[in-house]
Amino acid sequence: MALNTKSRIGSALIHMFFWAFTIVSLVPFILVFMVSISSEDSILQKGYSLFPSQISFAAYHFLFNDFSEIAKAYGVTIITTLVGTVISLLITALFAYPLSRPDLPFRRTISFYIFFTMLFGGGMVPWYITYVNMFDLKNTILAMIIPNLLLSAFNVLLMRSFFASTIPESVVESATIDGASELKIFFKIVVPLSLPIMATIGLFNTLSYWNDWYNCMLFIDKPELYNIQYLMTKTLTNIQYLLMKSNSSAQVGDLLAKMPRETVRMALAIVGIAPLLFAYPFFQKYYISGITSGAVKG
Amino acid sequence: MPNLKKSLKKYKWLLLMTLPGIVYLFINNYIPMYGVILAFKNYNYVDGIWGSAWAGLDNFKFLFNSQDAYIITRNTFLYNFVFIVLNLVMAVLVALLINEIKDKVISRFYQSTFLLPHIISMVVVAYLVYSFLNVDSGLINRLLTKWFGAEAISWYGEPKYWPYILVIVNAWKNVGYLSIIYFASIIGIDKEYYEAATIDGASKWKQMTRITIPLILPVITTMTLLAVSGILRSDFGLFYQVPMNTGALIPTTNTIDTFVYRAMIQSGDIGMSTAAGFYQSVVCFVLILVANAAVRRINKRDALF
Amino acid sequence: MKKAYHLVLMIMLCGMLALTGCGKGDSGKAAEPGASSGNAGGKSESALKPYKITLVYPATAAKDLQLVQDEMSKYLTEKINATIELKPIEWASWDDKTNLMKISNEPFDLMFTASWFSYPKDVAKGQYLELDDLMAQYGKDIPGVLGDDFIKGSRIGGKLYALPTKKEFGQGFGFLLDKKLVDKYKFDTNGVKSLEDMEAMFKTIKENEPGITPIVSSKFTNIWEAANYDGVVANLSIPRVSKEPKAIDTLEDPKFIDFYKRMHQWNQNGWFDKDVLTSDADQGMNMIKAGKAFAVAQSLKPGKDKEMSLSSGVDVVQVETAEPFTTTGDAQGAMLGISRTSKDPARAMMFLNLLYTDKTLLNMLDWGIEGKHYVKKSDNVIDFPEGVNADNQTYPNPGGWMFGNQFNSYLWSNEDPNKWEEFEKFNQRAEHSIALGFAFNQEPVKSEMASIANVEKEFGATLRSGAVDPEKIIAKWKEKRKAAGFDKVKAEVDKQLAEWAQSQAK
Repeated sequence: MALNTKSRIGSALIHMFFWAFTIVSLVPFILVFMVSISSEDSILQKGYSLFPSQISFAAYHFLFNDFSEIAKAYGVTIITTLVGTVISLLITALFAYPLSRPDLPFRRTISFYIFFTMLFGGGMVPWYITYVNMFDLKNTILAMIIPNLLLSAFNVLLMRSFFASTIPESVVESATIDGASELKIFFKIVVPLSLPIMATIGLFNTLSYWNDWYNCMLFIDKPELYNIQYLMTKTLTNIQYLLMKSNSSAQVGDLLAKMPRETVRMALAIVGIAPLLFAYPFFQKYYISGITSGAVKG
Repeated sequence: MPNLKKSLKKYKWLLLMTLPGIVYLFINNYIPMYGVILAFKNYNYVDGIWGSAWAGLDNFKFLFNSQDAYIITRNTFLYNFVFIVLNLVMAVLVALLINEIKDKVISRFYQSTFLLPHIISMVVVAYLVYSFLNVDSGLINRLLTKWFGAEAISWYGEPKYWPYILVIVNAWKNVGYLSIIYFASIIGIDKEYYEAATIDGASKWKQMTRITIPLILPVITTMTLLAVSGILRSDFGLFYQVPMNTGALIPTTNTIDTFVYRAMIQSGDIGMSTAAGFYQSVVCFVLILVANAAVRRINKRDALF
Repeated sequence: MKKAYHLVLMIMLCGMLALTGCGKGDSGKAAEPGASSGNAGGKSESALKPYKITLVYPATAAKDLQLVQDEMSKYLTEKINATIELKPIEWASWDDKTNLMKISNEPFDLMFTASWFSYPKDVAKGQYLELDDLMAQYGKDIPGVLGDDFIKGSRIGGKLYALPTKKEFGQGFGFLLDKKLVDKYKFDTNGVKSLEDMEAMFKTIKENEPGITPIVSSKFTNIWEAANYDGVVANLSIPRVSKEPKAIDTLEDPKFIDFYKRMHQWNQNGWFDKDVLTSDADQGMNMIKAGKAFAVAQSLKPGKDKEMSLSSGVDVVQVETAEPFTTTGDAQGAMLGISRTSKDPARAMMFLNLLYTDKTLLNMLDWGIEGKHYVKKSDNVIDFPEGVNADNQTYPNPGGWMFGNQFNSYLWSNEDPNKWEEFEKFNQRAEHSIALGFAFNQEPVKSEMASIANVEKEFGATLRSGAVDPEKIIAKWKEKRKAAGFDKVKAEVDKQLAEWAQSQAK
């Protein structure tokens, strides 16, 4: 009985903690949304507010004026995100798993080879030249899939330690004794045992593909190949850049005056990220606890 | 040698699995690495990367010829140190607690919302922070003056508050995201351990400290080592956009990256910015070698390399 | 008739003569015959081969870019047997993208540049071609359009690397004021106002309008500095009144310090907005629009108040606090340079020559295709076609101030029809700095300049906001600046200025 009350208080505390955390996470997001549907006037008068005095969808009308442009950009983003996430997850897992085996020859060398890329880089210029001159990726959809995004050293090393901590060596050993090939062990035993991990890294890949505008900015000159994040972000970054330069040139100051207003800036953010909200529940499906190694062995 | 040959044969397939990744990193990271020599060149467009004159260590001078060198290195280091510790503790805590929630729907709802701050771009975060902190109509000042009868604070004029503000913003943005990593590794733990523990009558607390944490320790160690390897780099958006690039806040918000950015606005010298990056890399490299060696002494398997 | 004449010539492959024909036929102002005979002199042996000119400039790609490009190409083929590729680059990606283009030796012909947009740096690093000879051969009309001072101001180290847009040549300084309040209190906005005049206005507003902030943002201090000093770098400036090109340190100038004591007083009086540390001119217009503020400082040019009233939707009037002033920075405010990677610099110069002389071409680039993107109301005045407005237009102006002779650009029906005459008057009125034409080469002290940039950022904005005692902050600023290598920078500035003065004396 006493135990029961104790755990009930405990769980109430946990929920309170989470509600506070939820509010802190959710409210700013809602605020962004509310500002995007406020009228420009109410922003001028009262600043940002969760309860705008006047609702207006003018910002979205402005953005969706040219809907075909936005639809195309969503298309590009969805394709690059889907293809990129799948390939990336596969390469990452293939790379990380062998490294999680303590007895792999060159394990340390290969790990260092991966890790070193996180520390030292030659900078953007030679990197860009490599992809443009050697692989001719300029103005192709591959430019938004391959450079930098396809494999993250961070994810490989993280996944390696996931594998190391969740795949019991005994499972692999017994499978090897049974005569299973390494590839079979990987796909038939390791992957099913690591669904939460795969889902997590898959989620990270999805986030980085969906949010990427940098590759699009550098490699893409054709507006029909713009992805949604670049289409949305460029306006915001233009404003930042012009603000920086506005003291140096009167004309730049004039340009700023023509930039979209606060409500549009927030609508840009919403249009850019809103579809991502559907991504997480998809990955959550694989957050199944309860698979035990015994189940796999059996 | 025959030993190596034998093990190569045995691990042939495993080694082949790493090949796509190795090739990719070679193209994406190792080929472009020749760019590092720009740090030692006085670059001009006509002569190009290879033809430009050598500059010795001149490109590094700007980092060290002002009193700022110490301040920016200290700021970058201390902020990251606090971020690493605080984010780790909070993210692990959140992950442990989520794991205690048995209702799937509620648990998933929490997880989804915690991810929201991570996907809002820093530029938008900067607008949000401003809407809280501006003197005239900011939410915090309205609360201070109306409810507590206090004086309005000029947040953007007082460097002393910013270490706290930046730590809060950083935690807000990253803790939820990081907790997912730890949560995923907790889920991956073999249920048999808990079943055995429950039979033995171990309390929830005991299960957390004796089973969960030790079992996710490799992930915690990796995450921490990876964070340490970037301890001299800073999130540009956080330190530049969020304080609205305000001069008065520079003493507490300037980091190596913002310093370099501000220094380069006018000159835009690629040699100098490469030099700054190289300096960060070298220092991080030394630090991580030390940290990695320390971890290796404790547990070989948890070390990065 | 003309067209037939032109066609015949094309068939005869006398491209050079065709240029004369077109110049006379299509543009309002005929090209000087000299220009084409110059071309003929250069390449009389063979006709011009077809060539694609690439023009790189900062702007958002317009939806109908391709259409306009095709139309311009058609026109240019007749003129100089060239086609054009317009290559707008987003402002925010400009630094990265153009840097890559330059480093990877990408071929392109013309690029927008300006003193505040890496012109001196790119010249130092060898990106742009020297234009004097090219202009003498293929751009003979340009000096006539621009005038000597404009060209002198564009030079770096005595050499010309880019040609400036003909636009307002100099900056005016002052405020934009809320018209409602100006009318209510019958403020006189004519002529040049002293600081005391302005103070009287702010005082009136502060006393009588409790909810209204007299002046938003510290931008006025930038404007005051630009009106009184020709700044070189790191607070080294030539005072406007100076009769010799010698730099002083403004941080030690009593006039400068007095001004900031005054700003400190303004701040203490509560005349600035509470967010003066972060607010910019953009916010100023918003606050005026919301009826929360009275004034915001601005660089002025003729008709600025009208322009701002239109774009922000609230009536403002401008008041000057200083006569216009022209420095090297203004002369180099917007330019086009020819890249070292151009495959045919001569053709690029011919195109530039047309931008300064050919009204049809320039307006195509500025406003698009007649009938589709605009309709003519009269010879010089245009408006949107039926059903088109600022929100759904498919070829928004990329920025007429970036190309050629802005005075040839059409005016909109809601603009002052005498805009360009007013600009001409403004240019004549503007006082020229004694150091006009001097451009500082930062290369020898770039490392010190990089350190000083951070020092400036740290103290500059705080001083400008008037929030703290100027003497204290200036003392700290000077100390830190010295540590960052100020003395070396000063010596270099003095040296370069002396060299420049000597070359001018000859």
